[in-house]
Amino acid sequence: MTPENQQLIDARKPIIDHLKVELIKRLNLPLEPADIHEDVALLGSGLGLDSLDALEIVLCVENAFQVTIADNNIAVLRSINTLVDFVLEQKKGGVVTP
Amino acid sequence: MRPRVVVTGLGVVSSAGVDRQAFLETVAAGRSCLTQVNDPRYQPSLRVMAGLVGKLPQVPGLPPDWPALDRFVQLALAAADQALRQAGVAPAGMGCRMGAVLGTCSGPTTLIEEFYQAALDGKAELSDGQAFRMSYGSAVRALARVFSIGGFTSTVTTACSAGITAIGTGADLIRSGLCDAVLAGGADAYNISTQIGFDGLKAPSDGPSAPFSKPTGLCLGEGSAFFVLERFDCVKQRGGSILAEVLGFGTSNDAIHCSSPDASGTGQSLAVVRSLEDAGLDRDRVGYVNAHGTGTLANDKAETKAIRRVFGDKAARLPVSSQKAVFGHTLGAAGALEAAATVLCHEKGVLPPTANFTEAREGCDLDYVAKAGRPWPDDSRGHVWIKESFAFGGHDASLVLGAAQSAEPDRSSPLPLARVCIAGIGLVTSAGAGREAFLRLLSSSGPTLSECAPPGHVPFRAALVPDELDPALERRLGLRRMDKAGALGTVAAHLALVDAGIVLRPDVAAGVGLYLGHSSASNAAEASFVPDLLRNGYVLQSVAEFPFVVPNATAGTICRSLGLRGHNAAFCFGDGAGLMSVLAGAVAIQNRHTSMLLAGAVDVLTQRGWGVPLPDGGQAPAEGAVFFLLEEEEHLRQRGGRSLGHIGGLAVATHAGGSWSQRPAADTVRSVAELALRQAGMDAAALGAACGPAASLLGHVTLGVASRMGLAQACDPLFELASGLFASSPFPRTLLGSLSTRQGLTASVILDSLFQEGS
Repeated sequence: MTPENQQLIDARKPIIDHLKVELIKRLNLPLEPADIHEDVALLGSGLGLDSLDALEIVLCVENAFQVTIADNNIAVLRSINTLVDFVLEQKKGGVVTP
Repeated sequence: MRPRVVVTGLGVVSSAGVDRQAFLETVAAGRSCLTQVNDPRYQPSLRVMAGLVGKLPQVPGLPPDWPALDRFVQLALAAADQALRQAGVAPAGMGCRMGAVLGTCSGPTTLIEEFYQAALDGKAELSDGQAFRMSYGSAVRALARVFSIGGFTSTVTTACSAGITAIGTGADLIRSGLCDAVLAGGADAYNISTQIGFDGLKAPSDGPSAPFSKPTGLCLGEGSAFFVLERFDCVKQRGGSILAEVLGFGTSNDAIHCSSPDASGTGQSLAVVRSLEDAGLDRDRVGYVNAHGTGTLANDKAETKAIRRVFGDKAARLPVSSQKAVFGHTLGAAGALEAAATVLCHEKGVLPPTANFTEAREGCDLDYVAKAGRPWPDDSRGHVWIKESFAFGGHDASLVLGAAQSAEPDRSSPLPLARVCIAGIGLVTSAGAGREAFLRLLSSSGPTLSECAPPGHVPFRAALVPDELDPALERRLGLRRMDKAGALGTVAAHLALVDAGIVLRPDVAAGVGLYLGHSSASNAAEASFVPDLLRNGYVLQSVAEFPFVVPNATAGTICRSLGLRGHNAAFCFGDGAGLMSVLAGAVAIQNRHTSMLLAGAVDVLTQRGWGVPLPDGGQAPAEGAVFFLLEEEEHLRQRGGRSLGHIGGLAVATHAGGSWSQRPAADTVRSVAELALRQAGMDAAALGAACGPAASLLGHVTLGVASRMGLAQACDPLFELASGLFASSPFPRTLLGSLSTRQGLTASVILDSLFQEGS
């Protein structure tokens, strides 16, 4: 593994962990963090979350990382990984802590 | 034959006017009264508009010993006063023949916020007076006191459809013979935490709202409207003037989502179709639809689809309009205010326009009476109108109204009242789910008590329902993502259906209704959402709980989990709400809104609901849930079901005088019980057994289940009735259930021909 890849993984991990814990708590999901794969679809057929849950996820990410998700940017909400991509992209170069 | 119901008085208070004349001129002209919200607590980045009333007109005063009540009560008093003056009825002389039904969404939320702020500051006052001020039932109690209304009083809490449901419920009370007149309407005050919740749902529009047009989104508002409803023959007899007629009422539940409407418009169209069936009118008779028309993308599109579903090809030529761009979305008052707008505009001969309409939005392709009003169609179709309202919790409601011209005596009378039986009972207590656990607790020396200390409370002991009820039920009913009230209610409702032998196939569930009664209307979501906002300086941290803050959320959860789409409502009745819910449910079946309806209550520990030390006997508070499956007798016979008892008589009165916390006098409790007995065609001597406060007054010993299981505020009278029904042999031939509450209500119900079949 290249040092760049390791750096990328290290940057993603705290965001992933934070999001999983927050989603379980906020959405009252009967799951453990390890049960949520980073690529599983959050809405619809994956975790089965709905439009209200989607708004909650938006608030959760916006408040934790001081970013803004536009109303029509549904693609960002596809999975934990797409959320992490978005946060890192928005915070390019900066330190990301929840 | 059921009596016909006409409107003889109207009162309105809104940003479009605080009297009928000003309101009519503004609405008919389609003048938008939305203004910028300037609240220092509100985030400056969120610039929204709303329909605000400003200074209230002089309202009839409450006695000086009453605590200061919420603004929504003041709005209600002002509108009700206008309505009663116009009708010229004198409630004081009518005793229990006059009732009042008030619909509200946010109720006393401003005072509730103050309470949570005080709790955060460690200064929460949990006196009886404070609890009363924060009760959703405070407004109807104030109406009863100020205007001397002594009959059936209740608060409908179906959020944004509450106004319509209150008027429909009021009409049902008259049609079932319980009342000769009912003051019915809705009231809601503008409130910053409600606004922020809607902001979180991305519901508000950017600028003034424009239903079915652009921009999308809603503006909130505040206001109140009341109707005086009367029996047609009573009005004729006293020579009163008729403004309109209530021809039909129908409701449904989407059973899909807690806040979003069913995108297909199915649930909404069901409510409209049911209201037309209730009116006995063909859809071709309808000449105008007053839409819910909030302005949101989801509502306007679904509503347009629903109207097309009901009216087919004819929908394109049917005028449809919304007044929410004029005075905002007034939530629980909306249905009543918009129904009032319809009646007043018809009188003036103007179809009320949809204000702020510029161009039609995608998916919105009806005749929305854009921008300016136009002459009302002059044919007979112009005399029949639909007013529809839809709400969080999936609660849809529709009224069919008719012009005064239609109120001639030659209209064919609807079907006679249906007979109502109890077909099943579902119970959840601190001993667990089901009848066995209930009976075990009944024969015990008392419940197991747990230490409780919600924030701001003096610690106390209570009989709590265990969190893990039954793993099989939890999986089957999907309880794990629900809050406790939703889970307990779902289990009790499911058990009542099982007890009645109902197999809940989707087609069956679509016809089963649900009435849920609350004691104080407080819930876990409120206790989390509101303090969270306060702690964070009114900056929203979480929105998932906002749709569950409304008191009908529990009813919505139960309907969703079981797929129930039949006749539907939620009420705040105060103590013993479960029994009142059964009485209201019986009235709904008598009026043939459905042939099967679950009626009951849920009690769970909440920060605000359990604060007040209980004055009665000192029993520990208890959690629980109970549902009775009520069924039309003919339906029960046809499916070969078993009746636990036929509802032979019911009577309700409200203590209109005195203090806000006064229970009805013993004489009133007894006379209401005797009235119910007379209705059932029997005298007190023939009564087999009795429960509740009327029991000892009629010479019977009551079991007093609270001493064995703790006092579940809302469920208790139904637990009593259930224990009476399960009592060991010899089975009583007849059973009386009763209650008297700190909110001034007393009620009695007679169950007869017990165990008639299959026993």
